[in-house]
Amino acid sequence: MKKNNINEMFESWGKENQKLPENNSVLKEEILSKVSFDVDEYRKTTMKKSSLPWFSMAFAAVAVIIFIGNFGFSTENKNLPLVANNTTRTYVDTNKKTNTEVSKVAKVKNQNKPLATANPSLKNMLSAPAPMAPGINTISNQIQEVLPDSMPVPKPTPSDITDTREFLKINYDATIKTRDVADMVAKTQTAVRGAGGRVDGVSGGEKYGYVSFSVPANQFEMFRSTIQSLTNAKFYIEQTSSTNMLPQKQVIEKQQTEVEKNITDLKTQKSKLVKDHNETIDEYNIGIDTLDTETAALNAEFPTATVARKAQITARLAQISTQQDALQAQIDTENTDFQNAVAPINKKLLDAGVSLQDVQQQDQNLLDDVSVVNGTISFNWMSLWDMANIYTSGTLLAWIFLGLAGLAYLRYRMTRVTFA
Amino acid sequence: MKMNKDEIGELWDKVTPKLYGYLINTLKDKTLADDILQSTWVKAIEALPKFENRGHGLNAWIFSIARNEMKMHWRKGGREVSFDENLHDVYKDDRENRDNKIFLEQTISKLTEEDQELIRLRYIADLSFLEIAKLFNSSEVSVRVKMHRAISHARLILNTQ
Repeated sequence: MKKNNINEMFESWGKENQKLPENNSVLKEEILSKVSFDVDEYRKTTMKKSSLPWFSMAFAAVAVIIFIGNFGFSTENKNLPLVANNTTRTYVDTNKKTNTEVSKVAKVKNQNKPLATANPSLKNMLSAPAPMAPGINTISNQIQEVLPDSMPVPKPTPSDITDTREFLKINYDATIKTRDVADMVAKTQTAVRGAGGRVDGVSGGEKYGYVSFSVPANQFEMFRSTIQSLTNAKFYIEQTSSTNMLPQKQVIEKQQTEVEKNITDLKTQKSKLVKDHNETIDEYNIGIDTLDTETAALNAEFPTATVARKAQITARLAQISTQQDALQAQIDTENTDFQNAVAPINKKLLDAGVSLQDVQQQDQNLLDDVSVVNGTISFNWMSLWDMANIYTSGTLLAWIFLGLAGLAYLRYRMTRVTFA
Repeated sequence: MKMNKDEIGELWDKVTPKLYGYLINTLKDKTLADDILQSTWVKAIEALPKFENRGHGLNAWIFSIARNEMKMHWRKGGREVSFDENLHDVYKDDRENRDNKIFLEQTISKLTEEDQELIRLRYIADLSFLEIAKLFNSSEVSVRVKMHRAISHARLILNTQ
């Protein structure tokens, strides 16, 4: 059987099967009698109102705007996931700013006193630019850490790249959102002490809390892990900054070298002075001794000498006495000169010793500072809304609107006639 | 859809022969076909103001209501069909034509339910492939392929008889 034939057969069969019911007219009348409403009016009151899912579209549009606002245009995300931000601190070269500017923006976190103010003599020594390393002109280039709200300026770096030593000073700041601020403050203090650290300040309230602390650098990672385990990662924001204190260290070492060199020079100078003095005194003493010997000989000769000889001896003794007085006077002068010369050197040596101690103390302070991590943890109370918002990466409102859009669309569909 | 009584009357005249024939052929029960025809039209008229012609066609929409009505009936009372002698007295043509139709009926009865439904909707209900596709929640291409297979299958059965 050909294809056309079977198609024709089916078409014929289909048309044969099409028929009206026996009571067609009765049924038709009965059905048409049910058409009792005004179709046009019905459409005016129902269909036109919801010809388009306006509510759904509006909600969806709001949701999209919020999404875009949240991800597209926001430059700062309030709900950062856990990220250990190792950032380099911002520095201010105090030489490039006025004192007023620095006092406004800079907060010195380094516990070391500025070296230039430690000792006046040291300050004088440091004012000489020649011995300083290139790029670290004077000690007044003391680098000060400033908080992130200050203007960022390039960090001065050691010019000598071959010096690869690291003296990392770590600062740690964290913010934890919690439902129970007091509990978190207490737990944090326990964690600080458990890490062998020291609590430097605490404040706690119903909504906000704050703990500042210092912990040994070698215990810091353990401490940080403990803090992270106290809360969910989504409620924890931290920022750690590491600063290589090598420039400071290099400056201190330069100062130490200078001071030690100065001390050596002063000692050498003093030794030479003493030596010269001693030689001079010795010469005078030899002269006096020679005169004493001659005096003794003349005195021994005098009893047996002739009158003429006695007159000569007497004249010579008087001459010797004069010479001895002159020599003694020269010795006195020499002693005075020596004292006058050595006293300033001794004074400089004393000052240099003090300076050396000061520099050594600075060095120790720097090492102590590096070995300690200073940090602060802030606690903010959060509402359940905040929690939900954080879990949805700040788009909770958008999701709500999206849900409303879905519901509005479902309602719209339910009011329409669905096919099949 | 905006329709007045006269328009609905015209729609009745146009659709009812196809619909009733489809119901009779599917249900094999005249009384039941009358009932479902009636309930289908009642529901269609009630829902007509809300109907939006989204390219599916009014015919297909009414057939979808009828199919739902049949499904509801089967859900309630099963598919057992009583013998209706009137159904077998419809062929009053010449002998050759009548034989062809009997063969065709027998052939169709050997097809799967889905193939039978496709053939009914295509040739009795006179629906387009697109309208059938909407009823089946399928694509037009898929319906065309299925229809081609159903006809091929029917041709094979006819050739072996």
